[in-house]
Amino acid sequence: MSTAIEASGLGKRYGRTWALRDCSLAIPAGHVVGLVGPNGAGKTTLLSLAVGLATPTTGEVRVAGGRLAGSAAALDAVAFVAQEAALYRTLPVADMLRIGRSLNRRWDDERARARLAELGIPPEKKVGALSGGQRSQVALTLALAKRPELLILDEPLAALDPMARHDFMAALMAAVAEDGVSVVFSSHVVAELERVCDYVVVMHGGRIQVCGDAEDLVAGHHVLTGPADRADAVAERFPVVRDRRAFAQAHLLIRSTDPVAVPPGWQRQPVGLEELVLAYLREPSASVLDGPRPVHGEQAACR
Amino acid sequence: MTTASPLPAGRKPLPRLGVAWVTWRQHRSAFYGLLGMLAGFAALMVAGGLRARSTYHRLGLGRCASFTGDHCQALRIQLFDWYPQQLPFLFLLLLPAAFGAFFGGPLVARELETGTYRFAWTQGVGRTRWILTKLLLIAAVLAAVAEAYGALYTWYNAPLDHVMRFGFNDYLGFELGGVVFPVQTLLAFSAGVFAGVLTRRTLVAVGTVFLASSGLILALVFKLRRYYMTPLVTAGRTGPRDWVVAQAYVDPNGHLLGTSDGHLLYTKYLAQLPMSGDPGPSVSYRDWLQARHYTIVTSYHPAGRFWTFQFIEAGWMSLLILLLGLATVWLVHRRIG
Repeated sequence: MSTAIEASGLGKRYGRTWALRDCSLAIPAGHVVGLVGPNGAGKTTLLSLAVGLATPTTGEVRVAGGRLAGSAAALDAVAFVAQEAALYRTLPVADMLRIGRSLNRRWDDERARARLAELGIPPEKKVGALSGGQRSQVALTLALAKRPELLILDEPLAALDPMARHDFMAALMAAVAEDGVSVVFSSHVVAELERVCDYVVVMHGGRIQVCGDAEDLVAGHHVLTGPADRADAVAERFPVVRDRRAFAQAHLLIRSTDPVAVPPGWQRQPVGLEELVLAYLREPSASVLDGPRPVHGEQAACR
Repeated sequence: MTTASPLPAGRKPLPRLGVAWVTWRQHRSAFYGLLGMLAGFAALMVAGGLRARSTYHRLGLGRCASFTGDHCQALRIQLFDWYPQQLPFLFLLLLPAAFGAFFGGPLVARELETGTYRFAWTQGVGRTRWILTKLLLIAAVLAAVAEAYGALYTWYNAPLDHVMRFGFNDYLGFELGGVVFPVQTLLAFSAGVFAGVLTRRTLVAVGTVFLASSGLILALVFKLRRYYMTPLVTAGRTGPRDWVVAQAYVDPNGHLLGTSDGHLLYTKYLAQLPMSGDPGPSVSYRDWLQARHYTIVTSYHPAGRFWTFQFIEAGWMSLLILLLGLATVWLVHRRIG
């Protein structure tokens, strides 16, 4: 199966600090991947390495079916929407399009123009005079006009108001449905994930904490509710992501793919993706990758 | 339509002149500004040069074969006085530094500062081709414009230069009459781009490179250029185009005179001159010295060294330009991010 992003032993050091460390993962193609983590987790570094803007200190990263990141073949197949759109603000939108056309082998000018017309963005208007939402739509249009196999977006939602966020994600999803392009986007907005992502990567402190298919992750985690005095015994049997105890009751978010393993006297509830991701973000020490009792299968994909 | 495609499937060629168009679009207002300044300078030089030529003919300088006679001497002083003071043209000395710093400094630094490099360098063309095309195109334009400045000034100054027969390093003749002017411009340009990539700050790059290149060029003109070659030494007279770098006096006993003794000698010469208004043959300093068995020793670069000096300066600067260019391309290709 073809991969969207594939990294092995990837690390990036700026000066004396490691922004990304010992990162190995293989994200299969055809997904919408949410890359989440707090600020400074290494999301932008990972994406910069994937689009070839940065060179790795250790290891390597391949994109869009095994092309070395930053190589000519990768630049053709990968489109990047940088943080805050990063377009030439003094140029009119039409000239941005022509720049895109001038710098790429593949370019779908007709579709880009049609998209802008649909969005009501006048081509003669300068990029700097557009609203934040329009500007990111222009950046997305430019990225899609490359007809990429992999579209990488760095914090595309960060600077947008809720309406613009909604419109942007709708446009992105429409493009995915139309082209079948793989998408990787980073975000610290966890609430968006559930609706749009079918694959999640959680980063913390320059390392990958969780990585996996959204459905598998949700199926592999449960909240067990039971008496607090027996919680320690349960916690020993399962990897616990989150341990909350209130008076006599304990709520343990545990990781287990085995649905029959509910201890007597305990109740099992499913967990939502957002809650799951938040639980991991709150517990940097918890990890799906190298927890005390690693779950089979996931190890192969991400470490 | 069926066309035979020799290219591997799915890999179309890049658009022809793609990066060239991008370069043009991004820098065209700067280019218009450059052309505007050049047009203004050209108007000044053409108008001045035409008037200089008519003055030259009106004075009848065309009939002077050499300028040894008193009449022709006086005429050429008239032409010299007709020309405006040369001082304003000293700004031309700083032009290469200004062009280089203001075009080179922001070239990459601005992209790094505003973050637009993340767009530019993730397109299919790749950043190496992007920087190479930009560097070569802008360098070509700057070199052409600098050469145009040189040609205009040289044409404007030609009548004066013809009658005065300045030494080849005087009156901007060396700067603007050969190949070093565009080369100096390109040196400042490549230093500007390099500094911009290194510091990632437009203002820092422009400022330091402007000051450093101005300093270098002024130091060359006023101090260092004379050391490109060892000067020749003569006890006789030098030719009209020779560049005199130093003069010294040797007394009748064959000792070289120090500076203070030289001044003393000159004071003596002035003291024996006839009072103003007092008619009488005045003797030239050289003849006066010779009569007392002093010798004038002149260190000079002969006129024939003009092109040798041009190529020495253009040579080491070109080498530096090449190194700076390679370092810039390498930094952009490998190091940033």
